[in-house]
Amino acid sequence: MDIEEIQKKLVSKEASCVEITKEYLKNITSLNEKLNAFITVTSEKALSEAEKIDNEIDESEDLDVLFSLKPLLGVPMAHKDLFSTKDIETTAGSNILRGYIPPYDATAVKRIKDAGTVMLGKLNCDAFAHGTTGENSDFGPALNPYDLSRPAGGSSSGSGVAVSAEMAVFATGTDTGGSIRTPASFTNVCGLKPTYGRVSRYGIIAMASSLDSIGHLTRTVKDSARVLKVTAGYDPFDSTSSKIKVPDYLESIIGVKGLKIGVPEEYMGDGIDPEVKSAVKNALKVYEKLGAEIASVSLPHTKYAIAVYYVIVPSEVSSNLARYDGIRFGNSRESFGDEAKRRIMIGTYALSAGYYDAYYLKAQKVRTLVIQDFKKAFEKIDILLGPAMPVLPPKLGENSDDPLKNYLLDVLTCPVNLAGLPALSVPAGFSKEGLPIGIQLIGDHFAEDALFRAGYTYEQETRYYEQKPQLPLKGEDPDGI
Amino acid sequence: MISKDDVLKISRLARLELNESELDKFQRHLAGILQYVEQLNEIDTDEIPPTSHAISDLKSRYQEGSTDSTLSQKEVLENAKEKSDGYIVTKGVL
Amino acid sequence: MEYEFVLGLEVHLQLNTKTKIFCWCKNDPFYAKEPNINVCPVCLGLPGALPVLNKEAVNKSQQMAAALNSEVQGKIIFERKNYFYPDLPKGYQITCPHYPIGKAGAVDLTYFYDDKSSEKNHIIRLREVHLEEDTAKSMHKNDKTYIDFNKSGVPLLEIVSEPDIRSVDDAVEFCKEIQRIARTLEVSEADMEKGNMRLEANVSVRVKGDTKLPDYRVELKNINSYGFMKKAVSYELRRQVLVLENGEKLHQETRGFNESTGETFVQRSKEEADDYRYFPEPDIPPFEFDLGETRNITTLLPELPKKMRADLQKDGLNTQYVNILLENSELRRKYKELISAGYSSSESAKCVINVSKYKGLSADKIINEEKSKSSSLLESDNDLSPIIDAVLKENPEAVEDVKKGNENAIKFLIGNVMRRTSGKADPRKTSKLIRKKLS
Repeated sequence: MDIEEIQKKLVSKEASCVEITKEYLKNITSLNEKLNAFITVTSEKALSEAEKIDNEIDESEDLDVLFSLKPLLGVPMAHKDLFSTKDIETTAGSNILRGYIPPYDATAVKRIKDAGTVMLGKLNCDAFAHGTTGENSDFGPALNPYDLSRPAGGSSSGSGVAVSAEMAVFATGTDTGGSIRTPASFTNVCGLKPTYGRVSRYGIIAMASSLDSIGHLTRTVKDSARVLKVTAGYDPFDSTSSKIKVPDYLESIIGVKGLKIGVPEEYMGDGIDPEVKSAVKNALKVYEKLGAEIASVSLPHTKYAIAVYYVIVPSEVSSNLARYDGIRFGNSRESFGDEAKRRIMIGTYALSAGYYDAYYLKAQKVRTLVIQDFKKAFEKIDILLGPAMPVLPPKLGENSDDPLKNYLLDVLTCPVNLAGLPALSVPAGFSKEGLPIGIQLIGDHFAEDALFRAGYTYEQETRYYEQKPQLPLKGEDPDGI
Repeated sequence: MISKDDVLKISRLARLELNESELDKFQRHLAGILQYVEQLNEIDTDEIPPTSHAISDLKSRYQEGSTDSTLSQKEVLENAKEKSDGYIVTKGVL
Repeated sequence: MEYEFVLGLEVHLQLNTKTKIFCWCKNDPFYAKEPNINVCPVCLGLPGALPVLNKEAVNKSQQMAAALNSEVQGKIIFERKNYFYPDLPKGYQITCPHYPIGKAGAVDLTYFYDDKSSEKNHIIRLREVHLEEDTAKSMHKNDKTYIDFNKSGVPLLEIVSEPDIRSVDDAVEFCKEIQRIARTLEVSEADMEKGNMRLEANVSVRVKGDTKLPDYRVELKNINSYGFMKKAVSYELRRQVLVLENGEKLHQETRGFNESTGETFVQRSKEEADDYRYFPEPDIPPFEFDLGETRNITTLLPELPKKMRADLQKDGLNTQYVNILLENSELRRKYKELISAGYSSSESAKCVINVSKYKGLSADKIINEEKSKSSSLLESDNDLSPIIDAVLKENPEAVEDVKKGNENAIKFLIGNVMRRTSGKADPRKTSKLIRKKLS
């Protein structure tokens, strides 16, 4: 169900919020053991919240007013475990934070709560969001509902799985180098990485502060727009949050006639899986048919983006993870997993005396060039279109012995973060083996409205989002052991 | 090439206690990644300013309004492994 | 061989802002009734918390920088200084040493020395003035460290001098002058006992006459009183000279001071030095000020101690009186009220400083007391007239000045009459008579 369907049922009394919540909790109970999407399930809190919402609806004299004040009223959702939730364990997918109970809510958590949602629990992710496949979670990987021998994609792995397998209507995520778009494209859902600063970072456990973007995964583009309307906007607790007005994204969400779509030639080069490439080409045909203009553009510094990214990210990570000393909260630094240790080591090296100029400063300068590439492209076109991921979901453990190989998978997603741009990943079909493929639409700063328009128009034409993972899940032990 | 001594020095700076096999592993990984990063030297960046904030027109942000986010003493101590008389306690450092 | 000091100081001042530097918690570490009560996710360094800068802290820092003749900068960029310590909750301190509040600057101590003929240079140049966050307070007992985060995130202004200080006296005067300025501007209590003001000294010595800076320096940390500083710095001077005279080399190191033995001891040698891995704080965008804004800061400064001192000296007060009045704004105010009531400067200073029964009295009450006392004084025209005539005759220039309307000249003449009558003349009557005679 999407948000509109749920709210229709609530208004028509076809179902109560408690009934809807129970349905999602039932899915969690039957699927979570196989998929490992949730780290924490807060059933009791969810049901008592749902009951309150039912009362609120019953007592309301004007449901239109109620639903406009609480635009997500009655919608069961879940948070990536990187979002601080008051009085509910928040682990960041890591052992070092096992047992940590935040005394405060992240701003996004508060806004989503105030909009009337029912929170079902906290979702699995790569520890501290360090990962591309979801396999770096200290709680084990969340598995892909389209093939249990493959990971769901990271770092917001549980978020992709939960939405894909209908364990939540929507799920929050964070995207520092592709962490929302990757699981979205691997699990056939819609993932939004908003403009840097569009959604407050306050209370969300930091990975790399100058790149972290707070977004969400939904089944449909309209749901994505609805959630952003709630989470976006200035927050006095985040000095980097934008004061630019949040538009009404649903107002003009359809039509791509005359829209200029640029395809970066570097995003369609050698290293891209042929099936992914053909999905992108099919999408371009759809857009052309719908009246968009397609042009080829060049982002020449794309090939340097990974190198820039894997200097800046570990540098900021090394500093952001310094607060984990086991004194005020959490466990001792020995409990850091391998990937966290690796990033701390790279970053500490890159910032240390004598190396700062050669690594960190150099990377920040090339970052400027990556940004200039995008700026030039947006002088001529409205949005960019390309694959979200260069490959189909890999097999579990495929790249485990070579961290660099994993890092290289971020090649098409991380440049967007370096430039702080918004991007939307939408389902674009399936491989011969039945694995989901996603395309990403990239906009200029604060042009989320253009992305929603392009995404929604395409989605309504292709309707790939209607396909859901088949039960029993592929790779599932038929005996259920 | 990054030496094992370098790796040891960095681990101390980063307050990570690494065992022998971890030191070997990270020496290998760090060397690989740093070598990959070398390609940035292909680009002449002498005249290029560095970017540290993606949204460049963001400037001069101060506290606005008054909010009460101060925690109770109980909340402050809640997650600490060891506490005493209102203080958070850790092993001695001098 | 004769040696001289090469001494640089870092003065840390806690600013008296209402809230902390990066959060909305109350800034009140000294008077807080219990530990860990003015603490939020930001100053406790909880996961996900973010800093937002307090404008009051910037304003007060800029005023202080301007008052120290430092160039108030048009751009501030905060950076992270990374190091581990239990009192540093985030594992880094947010500070701005490279794009600071003020660059350069100077504290001129020359005016403290009566011996103007001396060629001694008492101008201490500043390197920079920057703003940062204070750490938590930690106490050590029984092999444990107890941490109170009420102090974590208190705005801290760091004033860094060039190694221009050549004597312990100058070091103390330098700090006292900063203390006076901070109190005049009301940006900090600057009380060392309360920890609002803390010092660090970088001490080295060289052969007198050398112009090159020594290739080492010894850092003395956590200096919490002038007495402590005098002892520690003097000990270091003797120790370092001895080492050099033995033909040995001195090294970069951090030393502590043991109050009971009166000696310094090595805390950390250069080999263990930190590598702070500074980089721009991604959570805080840069701050910019236009030229008008930065200029205004200087223009709007109140009267500063240097000018006050010059005025008091012009009043003809002795150094002791000047210093006392300079330290105490309350006495200074009373002194000025007495002057405007017509009393001479020395009489006024004496009344507010020396007369024990006037302690705690307002200026008005002091004047009343003085009046009732003055009934036994010379106040008849007959008594005063000849004395005044004599004074006028002896001071023709002052007489001319009075005719031109110079009020200071009248004060000068009254002062003379007072001196002649050993303070027995009634100042108001005297003033009236002088005006009458010269009109």
